[in-house]
Amino acid sequence: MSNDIKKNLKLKTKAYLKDNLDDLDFFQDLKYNETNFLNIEQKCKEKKRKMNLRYLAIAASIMAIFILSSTFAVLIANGSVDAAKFRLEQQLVKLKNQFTNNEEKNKSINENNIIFETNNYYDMDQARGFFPSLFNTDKVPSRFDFKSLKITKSVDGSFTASFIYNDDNNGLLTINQESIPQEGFSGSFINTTDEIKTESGTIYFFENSFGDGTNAASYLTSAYITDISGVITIKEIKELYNVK
Amino acid sequence: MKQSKKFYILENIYQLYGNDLKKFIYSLTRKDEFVTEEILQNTMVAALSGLNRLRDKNKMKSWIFAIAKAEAKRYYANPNNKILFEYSELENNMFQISEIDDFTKKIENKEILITLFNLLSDQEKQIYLLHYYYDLPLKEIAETLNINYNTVRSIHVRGLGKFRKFLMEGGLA
Repeated sequence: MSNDIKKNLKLKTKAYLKDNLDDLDFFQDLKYNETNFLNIEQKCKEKKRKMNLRYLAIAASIMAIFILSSTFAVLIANGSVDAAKFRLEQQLVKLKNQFTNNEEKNKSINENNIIFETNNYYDMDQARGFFPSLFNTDKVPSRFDFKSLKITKSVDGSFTASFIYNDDNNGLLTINQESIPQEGFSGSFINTTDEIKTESGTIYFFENSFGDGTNAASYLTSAYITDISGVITIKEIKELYNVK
Repeated sequence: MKQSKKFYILENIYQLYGNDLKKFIYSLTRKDEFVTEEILQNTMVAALSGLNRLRDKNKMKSWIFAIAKAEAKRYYANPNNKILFEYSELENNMFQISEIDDFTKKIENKEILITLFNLLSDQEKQIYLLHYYYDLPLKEIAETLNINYNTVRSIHVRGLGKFRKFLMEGGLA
């Protein structure tokens, strides 16, 4: 489909219709009744009650795992506490998924990972509960719409997180955050155009001299490396990293 | 935030945006009043529980519209709530993108736009409104309504074909 046709049609639709959709016969049968807020309050209470019952069921299952699992005690005795905690967390995710419907399953597991995925920005609190050091994206420019977030937690306690945003012209912005391995960061940065040292680490900038609007940067600290790239200015990247 | 304060804020949000919100949901449900009311109620319930997460009051409208979209998606994810779309293959010469003139130049006023809109079937009107007025990409429309993306594309192109035929074949008096 020609982009000009779509663009012009969009502009004209909004310009001519503005806020007067009632001029279209499509809406002629729509009634604007008073909304029943008492009903909403009752629905809220019912939703809360169902969630509480669900958590009670999960808690009961967790107790059963603790009581029945003899290998748990063996792992603790061998000093593999972190591995044991990770496996228990995987079991919790598996259990919880049995009690939630498809739309609420943000977490899944595979052999050595727990994965959190969402394409709903309102799950950000949940995401931060899963990965407390998740990069703060509050300062992403408002022209970008959040598209997806995927966080992977590995058995060794490391995390990777990938944000995808795009703007009205399908321009991409990606933010990737990765834990630095225990042995340290072994990479190097080439073709950097600027560097800023902060209290926590160093930010390396890669300004695109071709002027197509794409730029990138990497922020290396002792704990994480966070890469930002896409149709974003260097100034906006600095705001995201909270530097001037 | 106290429950009573939350309700007060929610009522204010509804007074400001309730009619627009209802129209949006009505478009998503293709004029199904019962489903519109159900999704609207679920939207308000979700908004009430998520009110603490609303950080920027200037984005209140887009916030509640996003919740409505998520609730519609949740509703149509249930196989029992499938919305019916008639799909048929596009003719080969329906739209050769690189060859067509920009017929939108002939849409000179609101009356012409409304005339064109009235040429469309209900499902074409639905796709048109969601895509061109409410800015939902076709893929997102397909995901929200839980229907095949090719179905949405074909309905969209068919609708625009009607516009083009009317405008280029002298439909205007």
